[in-house]
Amino acid sequence: MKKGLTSGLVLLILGSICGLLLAVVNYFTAPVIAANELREKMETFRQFYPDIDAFTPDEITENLPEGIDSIYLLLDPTNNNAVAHAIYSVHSMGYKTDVEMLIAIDTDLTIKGYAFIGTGGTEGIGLNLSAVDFGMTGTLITAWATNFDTRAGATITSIGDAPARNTGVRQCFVLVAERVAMDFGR
Amino acid sequence: MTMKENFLKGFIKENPLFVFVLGTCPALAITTTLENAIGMGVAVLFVLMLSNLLVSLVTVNPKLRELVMPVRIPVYIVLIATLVVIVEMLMKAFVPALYRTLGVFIPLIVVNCIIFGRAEAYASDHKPLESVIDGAGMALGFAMAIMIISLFREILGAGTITLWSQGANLSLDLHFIFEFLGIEPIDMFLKPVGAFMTFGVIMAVIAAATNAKAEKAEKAAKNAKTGQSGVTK
Repeated sequence: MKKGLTSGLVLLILGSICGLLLAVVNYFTAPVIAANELREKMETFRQFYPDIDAFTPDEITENLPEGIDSIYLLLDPTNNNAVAHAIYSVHSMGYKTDVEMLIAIDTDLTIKGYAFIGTGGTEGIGLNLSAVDFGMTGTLITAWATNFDTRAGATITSIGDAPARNTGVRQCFVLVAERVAMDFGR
Repeated sequence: MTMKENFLKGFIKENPLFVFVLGTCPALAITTTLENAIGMGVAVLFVLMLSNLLVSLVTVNPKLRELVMPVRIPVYIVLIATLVVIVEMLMKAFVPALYRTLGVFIPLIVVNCIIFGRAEAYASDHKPLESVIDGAGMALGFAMAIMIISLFREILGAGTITLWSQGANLSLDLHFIFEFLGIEPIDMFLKPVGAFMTFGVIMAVIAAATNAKAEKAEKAAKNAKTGQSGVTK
């Protein structure tokens, strides 16, 4: 019994040393990993804002409603770090799996652009969401219902699983519209 | 066994992949480019050398060995997992593109039979230096094996040889060979079936060579015996 306990203690000590070692390595690599991830996100955002290097990014991840993963605010350093643009990372249930989107909004609440970062479950039925134009660019996010249903719905509702798939995409716009209304009071 | 023999045994005689058929899962999955194979080889080298060293260190002292042996499997797992997570963090920080390409096969090094096998079969019964040399030889033997597989697959499947593509692009375009032959690169070699075929053909060649060598040795021994018995008569 005593021997068993001592063996357990040896394992515990080894585990603690390993944990400490991992903490040290994490201390040095975590900032580099975070910087890499931010750089990759900035490259994705460049499709919406080619002059993205002129802004300071600020990521909001806390106190967000279900479905909104994060909000990236692009702050303008030449204008007292005022919010110049906002990019919402959202997800919603589509056809079988989540539809993950980035939706870029300007300060006048028009949709600057949107991109699909995950459309699992749509490729198998022969349709890639990123190839579909939902016609939302340049429209007001606050008028999502009218815009989505009239501009996007009519063009693609006849394709196979469209209702289920559209629900996912539509819901992404709904989530962003609700959040924008909350943030900007419009 | 000399240190040189200990180091070299992992390359051909006791090659973990081609002779013991260990670590086949990553070997078949990630060998689509030479770059992937080099990345995986370096990761396995780091983990195997250090895991052998640590396992040897905790078992070399008789008193500590007595305490560790009843819980040796969890101890090995803790040590190996720690090393793999360190590799994972370093790769994610400094070679993120390669890290993404290798994907789940980096964390899966924890359950790689070569690592665990060498810890249990060799490092736990040998001195630290011998264990490190064994680990280095085995890991380099494994790296050599997956590099051979990836070389065949990449040349035949994509018509390129990619040494490094992060930043400075070190790759060789061999499409002119395919153009000369009037064919396209064979896409199948980049798919799992191509991995199995390449692995199978290499194993068959090695088996044929080994059998031929054994046959030759047997014949020589028989001749020597016949000659010897002739002299005796």
